[in-house]
Amino acid sequence: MMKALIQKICILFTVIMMPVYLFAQRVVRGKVVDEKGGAIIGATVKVKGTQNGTFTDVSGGYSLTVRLGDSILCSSIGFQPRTVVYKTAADLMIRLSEDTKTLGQVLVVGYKSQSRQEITGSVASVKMDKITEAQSAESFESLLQGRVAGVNIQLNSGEPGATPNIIIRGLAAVSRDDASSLSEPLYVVDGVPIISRTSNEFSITSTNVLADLNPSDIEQVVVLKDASAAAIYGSRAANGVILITTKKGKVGKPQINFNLRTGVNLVPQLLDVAGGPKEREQVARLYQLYAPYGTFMPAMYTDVTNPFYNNSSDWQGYLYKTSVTQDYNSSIRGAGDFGQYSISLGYMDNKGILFNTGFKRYSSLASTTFYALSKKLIIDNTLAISRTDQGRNPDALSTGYSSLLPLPENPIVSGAEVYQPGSTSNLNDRVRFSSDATLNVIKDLSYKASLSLEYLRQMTDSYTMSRRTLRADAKSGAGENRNLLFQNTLTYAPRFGDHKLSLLIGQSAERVESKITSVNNVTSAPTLSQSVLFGKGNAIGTSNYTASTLASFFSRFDYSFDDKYLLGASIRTDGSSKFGAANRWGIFPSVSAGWNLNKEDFLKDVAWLNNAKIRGSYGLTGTTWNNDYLALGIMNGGTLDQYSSLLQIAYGGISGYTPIWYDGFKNENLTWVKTQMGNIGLDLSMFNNNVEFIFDAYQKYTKGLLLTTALPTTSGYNQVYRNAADVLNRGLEFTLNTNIPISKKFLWNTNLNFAYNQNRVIALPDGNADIIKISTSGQDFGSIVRVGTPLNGFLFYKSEGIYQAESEIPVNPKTGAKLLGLQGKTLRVGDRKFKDQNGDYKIDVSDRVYAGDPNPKWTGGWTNDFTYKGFGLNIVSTFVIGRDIVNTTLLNRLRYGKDFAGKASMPNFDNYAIWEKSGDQAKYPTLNPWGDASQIINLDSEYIEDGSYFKIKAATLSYNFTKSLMPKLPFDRMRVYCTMDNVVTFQKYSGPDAELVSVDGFDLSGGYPMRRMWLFGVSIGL
Amino acid sequence: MKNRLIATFLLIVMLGGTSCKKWLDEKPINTVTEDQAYRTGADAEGAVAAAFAIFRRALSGLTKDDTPSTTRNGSWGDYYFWGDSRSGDWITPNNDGDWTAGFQNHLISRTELEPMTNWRLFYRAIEQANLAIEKIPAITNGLTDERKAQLLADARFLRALSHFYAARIWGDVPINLQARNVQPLGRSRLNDVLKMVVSEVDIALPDLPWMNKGTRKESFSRGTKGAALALKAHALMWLKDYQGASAAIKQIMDSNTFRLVAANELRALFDTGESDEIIFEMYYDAKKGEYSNYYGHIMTYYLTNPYTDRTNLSLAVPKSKILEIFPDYARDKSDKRVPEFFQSIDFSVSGSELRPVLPDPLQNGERDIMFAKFRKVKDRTYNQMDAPVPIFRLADVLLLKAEADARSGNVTEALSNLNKIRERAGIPVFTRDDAPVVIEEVLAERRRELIGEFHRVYDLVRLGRLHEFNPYITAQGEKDGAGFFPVSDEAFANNPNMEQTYYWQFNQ
Repeated sequence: MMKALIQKICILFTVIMMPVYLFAQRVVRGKVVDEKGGAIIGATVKVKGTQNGTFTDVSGGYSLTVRLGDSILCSSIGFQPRTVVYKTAADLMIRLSEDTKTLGQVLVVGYKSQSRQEITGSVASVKMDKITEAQSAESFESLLQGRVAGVNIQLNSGEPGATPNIIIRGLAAVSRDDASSLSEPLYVVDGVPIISRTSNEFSITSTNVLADLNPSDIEQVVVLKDASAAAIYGSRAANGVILITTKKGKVGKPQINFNLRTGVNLVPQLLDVAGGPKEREQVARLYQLYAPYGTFMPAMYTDVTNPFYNNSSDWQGYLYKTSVTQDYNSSIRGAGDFGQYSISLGYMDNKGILFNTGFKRYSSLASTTFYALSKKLIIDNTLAISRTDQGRNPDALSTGYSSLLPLPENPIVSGAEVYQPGSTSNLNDRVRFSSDATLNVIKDLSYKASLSLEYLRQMTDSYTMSRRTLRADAKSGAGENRNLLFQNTLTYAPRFGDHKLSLLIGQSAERVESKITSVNNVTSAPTLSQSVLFGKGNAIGTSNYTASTLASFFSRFDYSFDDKYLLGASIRTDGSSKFGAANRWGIFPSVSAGWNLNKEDFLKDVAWLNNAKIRGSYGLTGTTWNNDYLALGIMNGGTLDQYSSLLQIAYGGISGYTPIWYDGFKNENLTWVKTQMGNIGLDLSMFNNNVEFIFDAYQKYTKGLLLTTALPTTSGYNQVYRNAADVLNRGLEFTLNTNIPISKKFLWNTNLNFAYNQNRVIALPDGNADIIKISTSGQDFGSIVRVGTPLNGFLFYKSEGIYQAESEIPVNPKTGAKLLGLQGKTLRVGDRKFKDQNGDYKIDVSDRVYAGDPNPKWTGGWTNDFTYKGFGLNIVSTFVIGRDIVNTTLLNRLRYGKDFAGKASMPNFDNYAIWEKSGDQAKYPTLNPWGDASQIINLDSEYIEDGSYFKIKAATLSYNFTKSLMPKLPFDRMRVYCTMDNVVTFQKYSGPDAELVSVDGFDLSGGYPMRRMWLFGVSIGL
Repeated sequence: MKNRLIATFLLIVMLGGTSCKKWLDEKPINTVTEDQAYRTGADAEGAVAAAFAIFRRALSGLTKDDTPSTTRNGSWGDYYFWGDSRSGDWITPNNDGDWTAGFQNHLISRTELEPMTNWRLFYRAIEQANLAIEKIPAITNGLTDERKAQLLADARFLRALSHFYAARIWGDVPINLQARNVQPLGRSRLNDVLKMVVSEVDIALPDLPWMNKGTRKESFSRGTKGAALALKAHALMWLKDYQGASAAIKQIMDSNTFRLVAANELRALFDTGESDEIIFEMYYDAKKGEYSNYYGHIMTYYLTNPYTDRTNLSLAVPKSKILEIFPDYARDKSDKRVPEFFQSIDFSVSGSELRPVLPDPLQNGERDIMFAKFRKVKDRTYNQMDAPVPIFRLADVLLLKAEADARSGNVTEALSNLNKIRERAGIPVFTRDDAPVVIEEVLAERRRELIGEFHRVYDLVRLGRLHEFNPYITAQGEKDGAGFFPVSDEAFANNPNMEQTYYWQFNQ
């Protein structure tokens, strides 16, 4: 069918194009090349002051009717335009130099490319080539950190293969529980939206799904931040779109590249631990001070003959070790009359600093382009295959054991349950295939059809074995995700004099499918088997399946007059299977306009101003949710009730469907989460394009976030989902790029960007009732969603220090009763003094106040590039200013119950101001493990700290060998470099790293610290 | 050529347009959606059966699976705690604190009793019936009109029964007769609920059969005319419409569908539910997978070794109370019910063996008599407790009729039914004919006959006499609603119309 069609179309075009060749009879022939002599395809060549012009062909050649003395204007996207006067034949060989300034770039935007100058939306781009050459990372997101204003990337775990959090222009997601609800952007690789996250229910491995994309294969990352840019992606674009373009071959001889590097991962500063004698001393002190009569320390603390007494195990030292990262990439790329090819292979082995952890990636990407019918037909094929392998520890392994416990290899603890041996493997395999054909139907009109298939399989296998019983606990699971996408676009981009027009219409159909199967068992006898062998009982495994489809029609229109006045509009309509038939389609429009001021007469004479553009846009985008069948009302055909046996499955042997009482009923009112976004911006380029300034102000109003609302018990249902919560984000973004040639040989480039975001909850369900978040284990951990405040604030008890004297404890003048502490406990000297907000002489839930905001106010990054001759120094830093975080880790380590001795490692008390006696200037109240009410509580505002930080993320020193510097160099190019990753962090926070906290602002207790890496590498271009 | 191209494009667009609707019609492959769940006769059968299954769960009790606001792992067989535990007849030989609190009407402060104050599961059963009543009329595939009418009547019966059962526990309860009703419903007056129950039963009655297909147990674990009439009679007793109650029960008797079984047939009645005396019971059958393991069935707490692996008693009627309730047995051991209902176990035998049952049911001491009305095979594991939970049986309605007749002045008729029960038990017929004495004796007979069958507390609350038997409840307290269970906190969430029972506003 396709073949026949193409044949017919070929004939058609031969016929249509014939006159063009006939007309251009009396011509001169020339060529347009880049600085290296490579052909530039598709460059515009025209005689100045006439309509006489043409484009270069695949070999860079052109033919033009021209008279001697004519000025020939030559321009091509990505190059600085050049005018030559035709005097001799040699002048027809036009050499263009690359335009390195951002404004000259051409960017891939939704379904098409646009030059910087024509863009009316808020679009940022990052060239990945230089970054990936000298830095090694599991996923590209971490390399983007600090590069783009308004894109806040936080690496909240140092574990190899962990998923960074990306929030573009403020958090816009709400939940009632501790599942970190993120507003995830949409990821599009070479025009194809990919599986970027799997929903919790269908996620079986913990690995970052995007880590299978080798960062070295990426040419450019474009971030669509505002609605005018993103609305063409409709229902998934509300939180921004990240467009990834992979590297392609370039005209010229085959480019063969090797990049080989090895890194040494060093263990950073760990938790402070009181070892051996110090721990004994501290435990003894707590007993001496507080132990009730008749309570004695465990023998390991008192009996010198006890084998544990003299231990001082350094658990952290035992489990954390310096490790090695290897990262090898190679590629061969080229292009010519036939098309282009690009094949790359990558291998990465990143051993974690923590025992038994690590991340491996095997990746290959092959991309080919074929030209047919004299470039009228362009066929692209891309095949990407990758595997990631993340190793983890079983949950039972902890670095926080008491230092008196001997290390596992010590013979005195063989067979004791000190820690459970075992391991977890997480394998992700992804195959991505996409094929597209572009047909240039007639001049300015092209049609593109593309089909892509993606298959992601996730497998996890874990086992732990009890050292005492030798019984093994094995789990095995597989998850499969499949994504099928078919899209068609038609582009018409004519130019009538000064009027430039571009119209795109398109259609796409997408189907995403997920399946999960998981089994587990605990063996009933000692075993060495690590696989699941089906134990007894009914609960041996689970399986689930889900699928959703999306059908879309979209169109984008861009118009510019004289490159001065720009107008853009887009519309997309998405139909999703997730919605009931009545509410199936959503419409996402946007409009935008731009004004290139510098082209106006009144600015023509301002020499220092190269470019000035004012932009504005407004549009509507959407998001949906993970549960594919939520609106349809899934029925329950009978589930096993673990407590009452099978009582609910059948009655009298007959079983029937019931609603799922937790999800409510068929809910056709559920609809898209709609985000209205307005943006105004200013782009300035000055002083020979050496200074560039970009400013954006935005308002992002997210309406109808999905939340459950509890239903009255009389309805029978527990809750129902509604589009109930509204969140507003407002912000400013600044980017300053400078390119200062200090001398001819010494160059200094900087990129400074920072963004301010203000986050506010506008509406909540149930009459704007506060949502106090409850963790999945039923705990109130102090996070609140309240109207008028930023999301996920801390609802804590306000600390006012410590009661230093009995007389400080307030007494109710009416009753004469003293203020009652939490849980109605009698307060004593040395206890935490919480403010009795409502003055009822009782500290309880109603005394909690909004005590902090975990959403960063300012985020940004500062990158500096120094080049001197062949030397290069690159320093990347990121920062967050104005964020509150909770030192949960310290809090947990200072909280002791009455059987605390020997349970866990202790911090060295000398480093903390802990109250012991009246007059102590202390920050932390008495640690009395036998106190009535635990005085170290989760919701104590004393543990809220300033989470601002400035981090020098990476520093690279490199030397570039080139032929011009070393004519004898056997390669085209060679670069040796040394990078230090995670150089230094400046912070006020008392914990180890202010970045390693959850989105909600809690220091992840027992989290994985971020390694410091020395990376040595060589990159060779043949 | 160009036209053909354009035509091809148009064709693609058109095809795209028509297939679009199908493309978006993505249905789950391993479960069904609401639209798919009510299509065939089998779906209709299942929907109504599921309502009964939820009602059975509701009686068994709420767990943290049902709502995160409660922490209880497994249900306890809450029908006992609602219908029997506060009657003053019971003790907990192993001094369980929760149960002591339950006996003493301290129902709010104990977290383990809190789930018993939550009516969520009753309203789930009601909602399931509401959905069935809404959806079944449209089903034609594989469903005869006759069966459809029957199923609808069955669902209506179950819905009325759920309201009635909840009303006996909480007093005023919300009425919900509409599917997907998310309005914050307030509590309707008890009498209004009962009137609704009676009128709903009247609507259902014509379409209900006297007997369903299958064995006695299968037949009488679903709605029948008998079950609906028994429900109506009970509701009318609460409404003090004694003639109406008597008439409803007369219809049951006249149908000749049920008979009082002989004393030696009581085992089948209580252990298997296959009995001619059963009017309505909750279906249990281990062979069909419908049984309880440890949780969910009151047998767990009634029984010990040799029936389960418990070594001591959790719930019991003290020996002195048994002798007080069964005076004929105390006098001459004539009451055949005592050996049927009670057993003494030889506790001197090790708990790791099957302990023998002593020949004299009351041989053990004051706190050591096992309530053995419901039994299972002797087996020292908990699995497969599947004795039915009786709701209505003939002896129950005969005694109810006796009370109704006595109250409406028909003492002769009352005595005739009272004595049917006494004769079966092997105790002398009752001959006094002054109505108050007869009424009192009928009540005592109900206490004897229905002990541990989840009726006693409802009888006493209906008559306002719980305080006479439970020392922890005062006369004024009972007037204020102490006989009813408090409304759980959860019922107040998102419901400004909810009100706490007056007594429970001031008592914990």
